[in-house]
Amino acid sequence: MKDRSLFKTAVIALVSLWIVALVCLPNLLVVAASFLERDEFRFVRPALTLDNYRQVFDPVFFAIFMRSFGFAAATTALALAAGYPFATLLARSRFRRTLLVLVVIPFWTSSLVRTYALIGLLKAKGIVNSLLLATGLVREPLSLLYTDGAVLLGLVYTLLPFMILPLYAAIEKLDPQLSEAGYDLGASRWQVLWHVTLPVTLPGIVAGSILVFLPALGIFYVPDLLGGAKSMLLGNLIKNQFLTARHWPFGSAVSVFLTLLMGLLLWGYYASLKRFNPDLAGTPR
Amino acid sequence: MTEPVVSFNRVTKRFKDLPAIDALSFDVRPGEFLTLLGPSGCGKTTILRLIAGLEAPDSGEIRIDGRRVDNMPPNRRDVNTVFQSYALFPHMSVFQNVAFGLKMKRVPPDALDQRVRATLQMVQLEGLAERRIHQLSGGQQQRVAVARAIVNRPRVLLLDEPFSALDARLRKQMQLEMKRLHRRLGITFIFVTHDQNEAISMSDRIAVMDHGRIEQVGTPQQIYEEPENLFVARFVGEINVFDGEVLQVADGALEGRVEGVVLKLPGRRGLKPGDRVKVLLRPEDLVVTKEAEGCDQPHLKGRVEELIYKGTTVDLIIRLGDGKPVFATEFFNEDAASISYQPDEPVCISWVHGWEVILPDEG
Amino acid sequence: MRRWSRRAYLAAVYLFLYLPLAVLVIYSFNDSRYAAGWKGFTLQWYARLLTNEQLLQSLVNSLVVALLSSIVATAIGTLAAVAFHRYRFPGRRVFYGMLYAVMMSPDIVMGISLLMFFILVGLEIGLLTLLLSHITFCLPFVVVTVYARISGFDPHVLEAAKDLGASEFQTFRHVLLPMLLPAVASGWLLSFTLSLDDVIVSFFVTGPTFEILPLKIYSMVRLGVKPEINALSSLLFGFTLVSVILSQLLVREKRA
Repeated sequence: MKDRSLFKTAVIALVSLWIVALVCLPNLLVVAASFLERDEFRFVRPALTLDNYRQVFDPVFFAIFMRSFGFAAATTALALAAGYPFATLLARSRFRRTLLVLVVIPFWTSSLVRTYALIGLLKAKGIVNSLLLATGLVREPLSLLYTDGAVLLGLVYTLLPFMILPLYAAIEKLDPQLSEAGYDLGASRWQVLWHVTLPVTLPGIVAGSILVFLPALGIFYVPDLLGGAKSMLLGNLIKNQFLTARHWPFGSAVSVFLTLLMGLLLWGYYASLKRFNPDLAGTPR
Repeated sequence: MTEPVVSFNRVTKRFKDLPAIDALSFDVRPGEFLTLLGPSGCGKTTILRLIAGLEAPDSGEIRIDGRRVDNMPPNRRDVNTVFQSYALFPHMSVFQNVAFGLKMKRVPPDALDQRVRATLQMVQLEGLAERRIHQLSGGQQQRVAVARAIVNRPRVLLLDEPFSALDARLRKQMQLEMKRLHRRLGITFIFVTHDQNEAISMSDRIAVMDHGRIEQVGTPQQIYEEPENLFVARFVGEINVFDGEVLQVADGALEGRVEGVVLKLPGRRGLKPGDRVKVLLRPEDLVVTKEAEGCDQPHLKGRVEELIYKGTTVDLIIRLGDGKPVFATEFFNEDAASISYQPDEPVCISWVHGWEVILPDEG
Repeated sequence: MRRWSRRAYLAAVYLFLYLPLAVLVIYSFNDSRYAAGWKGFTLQWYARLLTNEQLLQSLVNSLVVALLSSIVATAIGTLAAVAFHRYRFPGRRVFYGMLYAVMMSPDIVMGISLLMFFILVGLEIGLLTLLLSHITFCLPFVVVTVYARISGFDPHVLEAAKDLGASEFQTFRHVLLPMLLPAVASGWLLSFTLSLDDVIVSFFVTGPTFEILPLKIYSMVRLGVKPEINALSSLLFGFTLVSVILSQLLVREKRA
């Protein structure tokens, strides 16, 4: 309707202003900084350059990139492999409401606290080593902490709930008659899984993977605490560029890179959503 | 001549470039019960929403009591709606729902209380004032929706398919109650439905709509007995459509050939020999006689194909020589306690002269 | 047999999720600074928290930030959800998409972008910058929660309010807001928890003059495991536990 109510105008103005000032503008700043030169004192110098993007392909940094992507990919794969059957069982359980709450609790618990909890488990005098020593499986305590394995475990541990919840949401919506129709038409269990269940729950798989993959690149405190000083992932790289190396333009370039990656993944998500659920694609019409 | 309470003057409303209603003009008389009847998507709900102010027209004028309201927001119009989904406020009690409109108008508490209670009594909900909406049955929710609208004593009450969610028995009952309310309140009712029986049994006037246009406006009897075109004829009740041709025109009467048989037909202006026409007859207007018992009048010949027992009537499907099916309804009466036909039995079909409707062949 | 193996699988995943937390909580009551074994029950680590002034100050700071930012985020987020659902205005779809992007975008990118913004506009790093940042990252969660609930409404209910004479504000105040209340409450609770737990964004937008609990914990943890941190972490976990259960009850209320 064409009534110009003050309330409506005020709401739209407030919301628009907030988003422009604290979402659009800061992100534009990052993009802008990524094309500028470094300055020792004022962080950036107003001179255009592409050096920061060139530096991304510097062998030292490129190795960190690849390593970080490797960790994120492995984390996503492990979380998906563990989470999909788990979410399926959850969605079919009689006690699914209670069981779901038990996933939501770690989801909302501080990742820092959960990472810290993992240290207590893995340290030289921790539970795991005590058990191994007590059962006589090992003579000396194993050094479990400060290894790549610990970092991977930490990432999977902190991010697993972020995989399970979207998967659960997708699988729960799945009409059981769909797989029954599959069986009815002569498909085997695996054929139903491959041709019916997986494609229909694809949006959940993609959403979960994004929610695991992106943070796995960014949460710097997991490698910091579990991997020790030598462990560097993308998040640590950005953090160091901003706080230690004071190379903001390069840090910004890496962030832009990360944001572009996110855009790509989100696009993949909407594509998968539109393919199977045209009317559910999240944005308002 | 009284001034119309609602009037549309060449009103057009488009949705995504598709006209929902197209240059529509009509008047609503004060105090009448007008029904907008038509298939889904014909634009009837759009008309209600335009009157309520929930949509704005793209062009044309809408007047309520002579005042232009095209761009007046709904909260400033003296019109209330009973929504198809009822649209009751789920977080309020029955009383609070009904009181809402009065509260918005800042009616003092005493008067508000009194009016709400009186209205609840009118719709027979006086015992349920403190109930929550989800504790009510469908029929009770519908009464709340009506009470919530009429408590404001609007100039016009708009009802958007209000009974569509009710079962047949409850619907009948609510139709009667709504008629009673209409008489008692004297408010203009504009009622939208796709159910022709509902329209015929409740309305003072019916506007039959199709594709955003009004095809015919008239009393239920006019609409049923004198349809102005094939759409109205077919939409309101069952009807048989015979093909015919005008042979002679004389003294306000016609002679024509209908399905190959030469008959006398009542006159109609503008027809001349050679014109193709449609001859329309309701199933209950047809007289079916067994050929074995002899047929005197000029008649169509056919064979009984199907016999459907309906309780007080029997429906016959008769196949004419050229394969066209004809529907006929026979009433039981004392003279012929049983109506029985053999499958494939040859019969003659005739009707009382003057009961047929003759329309020019539109295409 | 199949059923048994399914249950075992479920149990194994839950064990994986909860074992470290359970160990953490148990150790916070263990009367030994270093040993892995159980040396008796004690509350001394919790008691010691109470005497650590710095820690208490950072806890107070965290609570202040969480409370203020969650309230503001809930207010703006609720209005935003209403605006996105009810009104058509330029940039509506773009803004909504941006909120989604904020929700998905890596915290670290948000942290540095806000840091650069604050430095550019000359805001001193501290309480205010922390508040603005926390409100911003909580906002999308409130919007999405509330938006989902509005979408579930019969749209005619709001039309009915207007039809019955309610102005835009009256419709919001008497119809929309009461109907949205469960979603608003759970959005607030989510915001509060998110704000209280955040490490990465806060890491960039606050300084030593205004320290908050997660950052304090982070700097303590880097120096090694201490029973006090066990106690503190257990408390934080306990808080999450209570708020999740509370929000679940809210959701259940709504269904009744």
